[in-house]
Amino acid sequence: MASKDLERAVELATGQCVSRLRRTTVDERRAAVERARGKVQTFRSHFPLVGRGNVLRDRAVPHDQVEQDFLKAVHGK
Amino acid sequence: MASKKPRTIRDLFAFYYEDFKPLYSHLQSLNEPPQELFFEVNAAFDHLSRHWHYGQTEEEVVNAASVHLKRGCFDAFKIVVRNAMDQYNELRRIDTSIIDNGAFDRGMRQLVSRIQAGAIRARQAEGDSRDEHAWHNAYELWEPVYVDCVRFQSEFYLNDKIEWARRKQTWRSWRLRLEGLTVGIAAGLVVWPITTLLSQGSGGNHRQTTAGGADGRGVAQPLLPATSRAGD
Repeated sequence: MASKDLERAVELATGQCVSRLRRTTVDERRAAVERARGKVQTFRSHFPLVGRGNVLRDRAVPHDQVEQDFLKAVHGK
Repeated sequence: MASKKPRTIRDLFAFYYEDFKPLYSHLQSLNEPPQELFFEVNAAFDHLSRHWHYGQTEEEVVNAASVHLKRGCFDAFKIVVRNAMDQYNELRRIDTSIIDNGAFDRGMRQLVSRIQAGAIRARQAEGDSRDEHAWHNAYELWEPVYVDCVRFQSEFYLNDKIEWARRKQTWRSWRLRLEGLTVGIAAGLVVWPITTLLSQGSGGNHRQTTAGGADGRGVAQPLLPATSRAGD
């Protein structure tokens, strides 16, 4: 069960009631965001920060590298 | 947050609706959903299908699928943290210390250091994805980090006073340049007559010392007075 704090944070970030977000299908939500932002939704890779199982990548990234990239992202450098 | 690991398919979908979908909706609202979350959902779906297609037990498939959904949630948390840090770096280029007599700056830095420390602690707590305690602990630790990131965006990054500080900074940099130019011109005006006078003064002295002889060394004076020479 999601905590109330998390639900409020999601509502603040999306501008939508969390129960409505749960009820809305992914496709309906995509269409609504596209309308609001005025551009077509694109998919972005956040590798290697996330997604060790990303099959689109042609190389394996060592665990240490993933940790380093994570720390770099956290410290914003 | 998800304090218990799902045991049944019903639990798994409860987790999907309660936790995964709101987080995914947040990322989707940026209009650039991460590909990596799709791979996790795809992997979870594949595990679930094995219950009917290959006769695996419900507990097995739910356990495997929940690991992927959990990983997707952790990935969402990390992306939100990175976005917050990018926003913080953007704000660092602006002199935010002028807002609210420095209170804004202090609050922002405190919040950011809390996010950074919390994210590192949560990341370290993730541990083995099959470990039930790691699951619980990591969620407990990631949640406040996520809430802080959203708070950072709404209270600091999207604060109305940021634009004011940005304009103020632009005007101040131009004012500093203008002041520098004015001081430079004023100093030039003061120094110029002094140097002119000094150069005139030093030029006169030079003429006096060289007036004694055409060769510039001056005329040699006699060692004895003329009368004593006449007496010889």
